[in-house]
Amino acid sequence: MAKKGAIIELRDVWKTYQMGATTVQALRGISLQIFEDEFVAVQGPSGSGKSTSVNMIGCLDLPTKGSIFLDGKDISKLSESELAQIRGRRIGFVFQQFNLIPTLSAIENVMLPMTFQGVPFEKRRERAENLLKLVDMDDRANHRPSELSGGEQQRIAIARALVNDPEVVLADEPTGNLDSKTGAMIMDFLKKLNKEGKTIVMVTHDNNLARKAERVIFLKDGEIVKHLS
Amino acid sequence: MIGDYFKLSIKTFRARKLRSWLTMIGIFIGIAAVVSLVSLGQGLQKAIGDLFNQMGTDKIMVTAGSAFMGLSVGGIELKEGDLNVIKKVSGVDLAGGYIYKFAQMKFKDQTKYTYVIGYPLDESRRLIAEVAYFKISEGRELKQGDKYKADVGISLSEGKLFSKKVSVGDNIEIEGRNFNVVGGMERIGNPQDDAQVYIPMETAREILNVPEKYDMLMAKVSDAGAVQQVADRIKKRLREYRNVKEGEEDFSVETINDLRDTYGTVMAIIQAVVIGIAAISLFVGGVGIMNTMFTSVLERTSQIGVMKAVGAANHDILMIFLVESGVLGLLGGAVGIIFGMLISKFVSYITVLAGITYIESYFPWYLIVGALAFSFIIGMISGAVPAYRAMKMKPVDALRYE
Repeated sequence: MAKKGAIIELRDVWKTYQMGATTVQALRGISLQIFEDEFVAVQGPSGSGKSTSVNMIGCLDLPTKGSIFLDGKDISKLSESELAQIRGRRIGFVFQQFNLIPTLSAIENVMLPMTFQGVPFEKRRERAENLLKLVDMDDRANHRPSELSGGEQQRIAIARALVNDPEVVLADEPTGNLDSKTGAMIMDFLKKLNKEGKTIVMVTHDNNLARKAERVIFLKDGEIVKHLS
Repeated sequence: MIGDYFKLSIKTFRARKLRSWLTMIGIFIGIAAVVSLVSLGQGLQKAIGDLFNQMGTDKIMVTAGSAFMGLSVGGIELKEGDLNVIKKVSGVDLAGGYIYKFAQMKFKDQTKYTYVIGYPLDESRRLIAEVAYFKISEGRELKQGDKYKADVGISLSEGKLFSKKVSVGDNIEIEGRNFNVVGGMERIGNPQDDAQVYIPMETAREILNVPEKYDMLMAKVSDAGAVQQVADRIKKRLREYRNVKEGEEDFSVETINDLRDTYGTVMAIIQAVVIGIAAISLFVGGVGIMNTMFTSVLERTSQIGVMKAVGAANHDILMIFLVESGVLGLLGGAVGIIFGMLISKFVSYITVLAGITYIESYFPWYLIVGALAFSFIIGMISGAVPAYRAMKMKPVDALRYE
């Protein structure tokens, strides 16, 4: 069983990829816990396995060996559709590339995750409008992503991540494609969300950003090499 | 939920207008072909059905040689003796025949060639008029005692065959003989029949040099329910009279039902060929949709990853792409229906200009609804494999794809 208060626990997780003839060991027996209301940064050089471990935490990928627990329940054997339900309700994603759907307007992008949860249209619209206000993007609701700056797109992406009121927000290099000023603003926003009770797990290679987290996990060659609190 | 999938697909369609339109061409051509030809075919079938009903099911037609759709082929002839045999067959109420020949005609110094019908003036005249659709619309019919009198087809009355209209009371010259026009016929519906001139049988035999031959013999039975048995008896008696074995007949006996079946078979063959061509086009269209959907799935791999990350289950992804390909088919089908209807209207307009009035386009509601549903289903089927591929993508791999 996971420790009390741990939302997500990775226990002795291994991940092996087959790339042509070579076998890549992305994770080598990682064990970690993410607790409620935490702000955790995952740091490491490229190829260290930080994105792979965050994918595991976000139920986007399953381990080759080992277990993942969500609220103490092993999810490593669930089907893809069951994992999709968990992701949709409990986890919000923020990506480095923003990953908005280019054919949809800002508000439609924010509404999209609720569509997959069967939320009625009016409720979707109301909630999306509120979130756009929260990220100060309500005046750009009907713009397509191509009409928005990087910072604006990332704010839309954060609104999308929050729309189903998830417990955990996973941010994979959220400021990687932004200038330092916009990046700082996004970071402040993530801190604010954390204060309001969201658990944040952020992948970064930036020491300055990592310092803003309560806890930093260092990865190298698929193993945890350091824990800083 | 399904409404959301439709909205998503319309947005994708709008974002890729040119590609979507190009993709739809195959479906569009196929559906346009099906709709135009089925509607014209239905119109024609309806008209022919009405025509056969008018002829009545109690009629039997006898022609020389092997018959094809009521027209005799080959050098064999039917004569007075054959008509007398038919008249004596039990169950035959009335029998008669007529002749036709291409002849020279002159009206107000203008010379043309057209068919002249030699028409009996006895009681069998009614029977022939019914089957061959000879109906008077002005003046009078030919009657007993007429010799150099003529009824003319509507092409002559309307001034289409000759540059001037031929009216009741005018004189026309047939093969050098002068005829007085006493009546004008109703429209039959095709240019050749509408340009015919009708004269008394005996006069026709004399001036056209056809002493004995009949081009078509007809019989009316007293009991319509027994028409097939009477036709079989006629066949048997004629075999005996003409001294031919069964299966080697040099004549053909057909009932209206046989004619209806023959027309039905010909129509079915024409429609089968047309539908075959349309099916090839629809197949090519379907392959086009499949190709576009494969490209679309590949291009949107990272979007699929994002949608899965934000909670789209496998069936959501499957439905998004299935509906999208269905909508491509549906829109292609809708445009195809509109074009098909225009083509069909245009063809019937052109044929009316050419004097053929019975090719009318006919659009039953089930043709429209069926074509729409069919094109949507073709789209969905074509998109099934690409959609399945999209569904099976692992979210983490899809997100990583660039």
